[in-house]
Amino acid sequence: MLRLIKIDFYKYSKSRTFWVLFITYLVTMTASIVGIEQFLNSTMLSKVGNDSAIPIPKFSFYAFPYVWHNMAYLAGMFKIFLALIIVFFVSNEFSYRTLRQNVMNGMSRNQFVWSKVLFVVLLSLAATLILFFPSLIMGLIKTKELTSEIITRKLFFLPAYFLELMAFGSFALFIAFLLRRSALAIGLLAFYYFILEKIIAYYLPDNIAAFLPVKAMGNMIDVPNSALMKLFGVNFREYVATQDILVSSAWMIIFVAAVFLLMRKRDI
Amino acid sequence: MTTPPVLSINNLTKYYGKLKALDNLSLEVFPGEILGFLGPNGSGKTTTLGILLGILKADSGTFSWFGNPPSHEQRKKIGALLETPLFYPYLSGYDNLKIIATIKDAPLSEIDEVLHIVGLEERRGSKFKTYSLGMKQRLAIAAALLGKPEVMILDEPTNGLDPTGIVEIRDLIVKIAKRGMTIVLASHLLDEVEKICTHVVVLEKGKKLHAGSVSEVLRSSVTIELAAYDMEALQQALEEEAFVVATRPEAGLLIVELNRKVETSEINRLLTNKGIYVSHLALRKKSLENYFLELLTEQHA
Repeated sequence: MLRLIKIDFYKYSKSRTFWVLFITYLVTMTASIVGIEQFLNSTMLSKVGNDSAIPIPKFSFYAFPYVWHNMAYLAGMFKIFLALIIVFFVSNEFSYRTLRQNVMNGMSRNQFVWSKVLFVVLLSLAATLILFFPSLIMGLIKTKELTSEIITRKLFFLPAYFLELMAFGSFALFIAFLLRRSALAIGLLAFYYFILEKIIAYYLPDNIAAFLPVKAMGNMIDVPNSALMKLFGVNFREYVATQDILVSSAWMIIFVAAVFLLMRKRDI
Repeated sequence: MTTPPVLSINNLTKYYGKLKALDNLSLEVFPGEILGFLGPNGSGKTTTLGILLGILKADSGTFSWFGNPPSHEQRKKIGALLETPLFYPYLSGYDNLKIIATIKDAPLSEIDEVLHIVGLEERRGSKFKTYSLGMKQRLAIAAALLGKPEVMILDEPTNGLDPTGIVEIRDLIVKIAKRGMTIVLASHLLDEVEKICTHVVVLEKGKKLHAGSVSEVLRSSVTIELAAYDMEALQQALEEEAFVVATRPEAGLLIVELNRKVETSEINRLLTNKGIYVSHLALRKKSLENYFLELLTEQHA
């Protein structure tokens, strides 16, 4: 396994495109985490107005333990970017035909797929850390009374976020292996994510639509309750539902298994 | 031969949709052979090599390397170059070879060795996309040499190169062949195969037309060329002889095909006895190209 990681490390560690994309993600993510409160307070709340009749309670996005939920939800909106990195680099192996070179030099087809699964794991892990550190720091700064209990109480949103990325990354992997051309694969991924699934979901009853891949993965971390929402009596889940975990894990396994299947019989 | 074959292929068949690209191909390659894989474009050469390298899946038939069923571990011991060089364009030659050495479980110290063999050590740090076609092809050969392979598979290694590049690659292959490696070389450049190979297999439309050693092929008949003051008398005199198969004039010379090897001095003596004095008499070596064309025309006749 270490050898497979090493091979992929050699492939990507000197790719300028990879670092440009990765650092763009890192910077965007960190800036979003640090800036989101300011942004929302200045845009959303100003519409309601400070002199509004309803007193809007002051609250912080960053207070423990809610920071984990809030920031994991925020970061979830950027997962398409990570998926594009996966699609781009995996389909390049087809367009450079380096997959051929790898296989004829002694990599088995399964090892090649595993190396890409590991790539998804490592990228998801990195993204989870990119979520963890700025959130931790912001939480430490903005929480008045710090106890270790309050810091770790809702930490389970991090593994949930990791699973969300893994499942979505597997989806991206599947599309890349299926279409083998980066433009086509990126196009289909974006089309499905932004449009197609929404249309399908529209025609399905809610309890069935919840089984659609993007929907299930997105449902895992529900919209955080803000004080304002509570005011209107809206109440979202503050936990991660077992059903969403199971459905997302099932999709992840299906997509990865489909990639192995695709590679078994096909000419490459 | 008593030594077991390096490679044996049994009834390999492959379809592309309805097109039968390979038709029950069977073949054996023994250690130390340099096998020329001949055939017009689309005859199934690359398909065969692709199957042998695990890239394409055969519809039926089997093959074995070193007497064992195919596996990715064996491929580490096969140096392969398929059609075009396939590398990461944004990585240097050295970094590309680092990936391949890691896949093949070869020590990284071998990289400089193989770069030296193909003469790319000075450009080892340049990005692959800045290489000329000849350099790319040399890098592909360097990649094939990593892991000290026992067999080399080279598919059209001089494809798309200019004449200097062709000579460079050919010399390189000869250099490698001298190390006693078993080589399978697919090419449609026949004089290339003739210069390098010990054995040939001719394919057409996925079928094996012929397999044998190169010297056998070239020995199968002998051609001589002659000239004399009276060309007609010369032709007549020769056609009387039993060992002459055919005669035809060509550019001021008479080309004579013989069914067995006859010493030129013997022919000279015969003609002198008949009162014909030749001004030109030479043995014409049969080229693989002529043989190949004959074989294909026979097939279509």
